Amino acid sequence: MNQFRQTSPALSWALTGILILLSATLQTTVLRGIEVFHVIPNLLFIIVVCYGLLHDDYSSLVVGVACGLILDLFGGRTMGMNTLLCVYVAWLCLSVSDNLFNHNAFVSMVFVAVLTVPYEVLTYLFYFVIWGKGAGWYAVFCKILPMVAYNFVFALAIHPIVKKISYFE
Amino acid sequence: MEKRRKMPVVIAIITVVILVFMALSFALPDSSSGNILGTILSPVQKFFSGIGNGVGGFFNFVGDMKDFQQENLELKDQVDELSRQVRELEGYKEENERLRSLLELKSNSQDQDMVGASVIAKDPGNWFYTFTVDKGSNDGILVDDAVVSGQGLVGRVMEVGHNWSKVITIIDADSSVGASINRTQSLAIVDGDLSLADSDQCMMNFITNDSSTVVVGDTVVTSGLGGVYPAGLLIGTVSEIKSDSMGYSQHAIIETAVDFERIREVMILRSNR
Repeated sequence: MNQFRQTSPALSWALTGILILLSATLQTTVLRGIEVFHVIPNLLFIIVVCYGLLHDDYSSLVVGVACGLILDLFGGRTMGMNTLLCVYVAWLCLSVSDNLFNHNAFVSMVFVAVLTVPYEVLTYLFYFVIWGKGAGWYAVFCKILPMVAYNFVFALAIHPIVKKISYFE
Repeated sequence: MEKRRKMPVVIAIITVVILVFMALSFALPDSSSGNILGTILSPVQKFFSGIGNGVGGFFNFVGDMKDFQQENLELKDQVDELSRQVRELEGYKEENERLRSLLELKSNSQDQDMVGASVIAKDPGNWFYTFTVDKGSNDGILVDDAVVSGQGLVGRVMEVGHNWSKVITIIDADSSVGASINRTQSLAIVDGDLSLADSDQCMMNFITNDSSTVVVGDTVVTSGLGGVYPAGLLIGTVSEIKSDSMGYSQHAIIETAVDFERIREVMILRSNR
């Protein structure tokens, strides 16, 4: 069936762009209304992971840069911190994607959950610990772990969308 | 396969570019790229913010239903008490106005140049307590302008675009406000704290270790020192007092006057620098 599909990289890029902007907007507006334990999911980070696992070219890095840049512009304190982390996350996902037998939603969910830990720990270290503003246990139990759980759940919704967009490539 | 071999080189180049970008953002904090993206997304965020407020409001309403009955009874008692106080205060107000006109004083709020703004977006992450409002340099907003709500001090403007501004709240861990205890006029610093921020609380530091300096229930206002916040803006009330391990000083936990979770509209005090 796939051999008859219409491919259009331009359409794929346009849809990816819309998905990123829509996620950024939702993340800064609507999601705050349904936060659980004062935590919201990081949709842009989930997109980077799902995109990295479902693609095997430089486009993952571009998506990583775009999502990281938006996170930096709307929330970060040091311009480039999130961009750098998202690029490395994209690279990591890209590197392991070839070795995966199955690119299903559960794989994405697990990767999202696992990669949320170093991503948020590094953010916490960079913005709080090195400035002497650490609140260790609170950061782990009230911030990082709820974020892991929330990102894990939301990856289930993001994965099929990214997969659908990939279909046009 | 060729692409994959070049990947580390590409990553290295991207890393260098981003590090240069990070260094530049330290040197030139006013990023035009942020301004452009913010200007484009600002109307879209305004639209979605309205939806978000509706959704959040619904969930809050359902969650609060159980408490409403008890709260209603308490509020009725409070209304009676407040009605009595209002009658008493009206007398004071008239007296105050007479004295004010005699002294030809103007109230601070009348002197202050304010502009109203709506919250259109909140921080996309979970570490910082900042939000974006729909007024920017086109409305005369400058970096470090103080931001207040009807309840008290909200924070200050940390970044300005043409039609948007980013506000850092006083509960953010990077925030520091010169404060004074209303009752004793003692000076202190109110800092944001990561572990207190979710419950709308701040830490008040550098209080002398004298038991009479601060007591639970004391009102804390801005001191005006530091030049960012005007004096006399309500920060909150003292909810807990703790002494340091050496016993030289004490710190207090402040319950902020502002409900940061439900904040929708703010006033920005234009400084006219």
